[in-house]
Amino acid sequence: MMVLPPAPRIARRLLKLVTPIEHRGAVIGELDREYEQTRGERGRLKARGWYWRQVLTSIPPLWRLGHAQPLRPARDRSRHFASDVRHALRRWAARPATTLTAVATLAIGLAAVTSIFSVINAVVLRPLPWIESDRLVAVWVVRPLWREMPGLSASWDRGDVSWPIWTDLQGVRALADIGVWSSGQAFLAGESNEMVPFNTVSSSFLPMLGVQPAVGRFFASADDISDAGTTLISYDNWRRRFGSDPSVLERDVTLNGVARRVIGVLPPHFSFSGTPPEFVLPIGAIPLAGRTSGNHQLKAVGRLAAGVSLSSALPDIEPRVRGGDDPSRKTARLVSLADDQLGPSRKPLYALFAGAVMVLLLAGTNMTGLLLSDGLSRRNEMTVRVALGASRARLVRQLLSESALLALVAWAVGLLVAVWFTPVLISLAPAELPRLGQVEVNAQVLIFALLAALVIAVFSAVGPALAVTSTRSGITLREAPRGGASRRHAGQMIVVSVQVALALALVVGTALLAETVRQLRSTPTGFDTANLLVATVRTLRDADEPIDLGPRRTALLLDRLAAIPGVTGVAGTGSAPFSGLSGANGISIPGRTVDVSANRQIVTDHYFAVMRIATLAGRVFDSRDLADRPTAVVSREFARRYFDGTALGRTFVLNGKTLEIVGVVEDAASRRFGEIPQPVFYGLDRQLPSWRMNNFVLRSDHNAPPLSAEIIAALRDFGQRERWLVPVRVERMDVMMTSSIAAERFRATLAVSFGVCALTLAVVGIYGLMSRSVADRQREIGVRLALGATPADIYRLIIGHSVRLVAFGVLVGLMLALLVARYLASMLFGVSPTAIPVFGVATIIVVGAAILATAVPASRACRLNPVVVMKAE
Amino acid sequence: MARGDYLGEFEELVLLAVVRCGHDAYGMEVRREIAARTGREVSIGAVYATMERLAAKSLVRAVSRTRDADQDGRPRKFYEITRSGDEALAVAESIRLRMRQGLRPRIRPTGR
Repeated sequence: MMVLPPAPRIARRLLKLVTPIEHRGAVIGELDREYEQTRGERGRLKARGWYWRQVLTSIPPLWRLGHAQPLRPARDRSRHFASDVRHALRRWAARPATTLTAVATLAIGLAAVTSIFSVINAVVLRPLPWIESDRLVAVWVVRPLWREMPGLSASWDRGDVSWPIWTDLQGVRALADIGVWSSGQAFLAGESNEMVPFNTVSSSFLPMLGVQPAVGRFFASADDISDAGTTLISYDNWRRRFGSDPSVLERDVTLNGVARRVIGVLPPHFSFSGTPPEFVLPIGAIPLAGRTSGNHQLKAVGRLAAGVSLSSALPDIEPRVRGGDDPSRKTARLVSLADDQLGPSRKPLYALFAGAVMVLLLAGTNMTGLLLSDGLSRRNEMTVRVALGASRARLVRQLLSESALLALVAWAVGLLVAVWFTPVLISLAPAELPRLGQVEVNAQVLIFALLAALVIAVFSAVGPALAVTSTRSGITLREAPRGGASRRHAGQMIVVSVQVALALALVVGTALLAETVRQLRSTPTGFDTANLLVATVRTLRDADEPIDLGPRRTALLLDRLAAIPGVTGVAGTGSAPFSGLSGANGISIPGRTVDVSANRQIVTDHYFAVMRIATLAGRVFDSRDLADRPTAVVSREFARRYFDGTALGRTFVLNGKTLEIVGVVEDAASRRFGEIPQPVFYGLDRQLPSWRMNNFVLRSDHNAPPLSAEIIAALRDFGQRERWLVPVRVERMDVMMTSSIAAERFRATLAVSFGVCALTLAVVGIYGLMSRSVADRQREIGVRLALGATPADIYRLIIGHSVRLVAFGVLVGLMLALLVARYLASMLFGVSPTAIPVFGVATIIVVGAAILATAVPASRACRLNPVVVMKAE
Repeated sequence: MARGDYLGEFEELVLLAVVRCGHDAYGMEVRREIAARTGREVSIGAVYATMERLAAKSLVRAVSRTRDADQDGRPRKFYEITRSGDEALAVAESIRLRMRQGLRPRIRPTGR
């Protein structure tokens, strides 16, 4: 057996590529032998240079050899194809302006579709990266009663499991495997004293996913019961904090005050759900107090046993989740892991994809219009070729190759645009979209785009090709140039209608999504967002420390923050609006038999003044509120729902403490724009000291420079002295609010860009068609002018023609738009999917654009000189 | 010989080289022969493409055989000149002679 000489591989491959297959063995074989010899005589470097020179200079003659015209006429189809392509190249090269327009148009459509597809491909289509991921399921606790409960409704059917439920689930036959996990932020002691994301997992969890340690080992089953003070670290963490040190297994870290030995490193890019963890702890680290049946903080994931389906597994699992509870209070839900993690992202992405497809279709109809005009003016050529014996199929094929050629160029350009646009898309995308980091323009995307390009090429060319080559009308050579007009008219009618319809449907969708964002932003928030900063801190609880030190230290910190120049007011709260934190409590109201729930806000004295939340009745907290007599301020909705509006002086019971309501304040948004007002009670931190202050809200002077850095510095300084507080971040309230509607903004931004594309494409298309139409009717217009029509008459004639064309498209478009709106309904806020103003404005915009596109050709028609036109005839 | 079938310059070089190499006329050897005689670094691709063109015109024919010197035992593609090839060379030579008649003093062979 011959040993392959180590000839330059790339050069060799290049040569293989261009050499016709029957010569490959000989050419490459000889070159390789010679290379061997040269290497022996003149050294490796020189031999490589020589090889490369040989290959590069061999490429042109070999390529010509492979593509030379055979000496005898070919009998095969490839010859036709080659000549079709050559013909197409010549035709397009002769009309650069038309070609550029067509390519640009298609490229825009293809780029839109390709970019969105690259996102869908990575986020939704690609299977989860775990072994047998299609058999993995998520187990959720469902609490039907929570569905209508304020503060709890968001998680009514996706409740975590408790420790006892997890213990019970381990015996379930329907599951071949079961693991639990949870996530959180831990305090990592060290130079930087920072908060780091971590996961807690059962020993079965990582092996079930098929994850293997990069270094060391994972947890053993003993780690599920007791905490041996161990931790896993992420690959990135290993690289960043430990410099990929192989002896990392000897190292200790201090997490939440506990020293932990590193026993293993996770593989690169491990992320199960949400923020990728830097540390992974064993569930044995959960203290005994967290293992009671009342503590639901574990998420269960299982693998279905062989032959078991979701529905057949549920009866096995449900009783163990329910425990002794009544099914109306607690039950279980089983959902495939892929649906659980990716399901919510699907519909919005598909909607955007549909929008992009519509842009592409519009581009396709533009092509159609172009090919139609172009083709009909070539009827002469076609007729001649038919007369010379060309079959219709042959002519259709030629027209298809012409459009395919354009589509291929557009594919390349579109890909370039997509490569540029996809990162922009990712940067716009809401962070909650899973697997965004894996979005890329890869081979799958490339092939998809190619298919899209070919489909659109056929779609846009089939109609014109059939129309142009039709022999039914029996048009003779002599009549051909003029006979095209009526056919063109029919084609035009269709093309313009389709364009108007698509554009209208897209503009309606765009308007609905954009209006949603506008409506969301204009909902009252109940507080003043201007110059408001929110600092998020992490407070560390020390077991030995009396709990009433909390409010005293908080007061110290408030003083420190208030002393920052430019800060005009500061207050603490357990969960600031839009911070992503929230809490809810069950409360009992004297005189009511059933407990109710309400959102909980534990605040410091000046909270309402700093937030500028209006007082509706009574008063807000002040120095009269002493530590031993708990008081509460409630929101308007709380007062309305639980006290019929007269809440002052009434009481409710929270965790055994009776709180007296001393004031009612305006409803304030808590999580996002446009939420239904929730009942909220505000408690005072010095009266309810067991809750921590997680946020500090700071109102700054109107003219103050950005204060984030000063605030962070103050918090850090304070934290270093007090050792119970770590600053996490400082954000502007308006920015937090904007990012709370990132998903809506993402959809609206893309929709607007699609809408603008659609309108532009429609205008370009209609302009082209109407220009062509005016050119066709020159003679008619000339006669009319000669017979005494005024330019205004002509103008009306052309515009009238265009309006008739557009009107039909509008009808179709409105119907299409209704479908679009129905699909979008669940993504809308504050605007009905059938809002007449939206449809009206969209129609006016599209019709206006269409008429504008006709105005230029129309005014050109008015200026025709009848004498010149008639003479030309 | 039909009109337009004159040998191109490089074709003639390749054909001559095939004759010179005799039994050893395979691509790389032909290339080397041309390089050695003309001082022109020629690419293997150009040689092959030309030989294929000549083969298509039936001026050379390709034979596949192994050579004792090759240890790998894989057959090489050798070329040998056909009768038409011989004729073509002769025609080319005679055309050149006719064209040069009476121009001797002005055109002399140069170089080696």
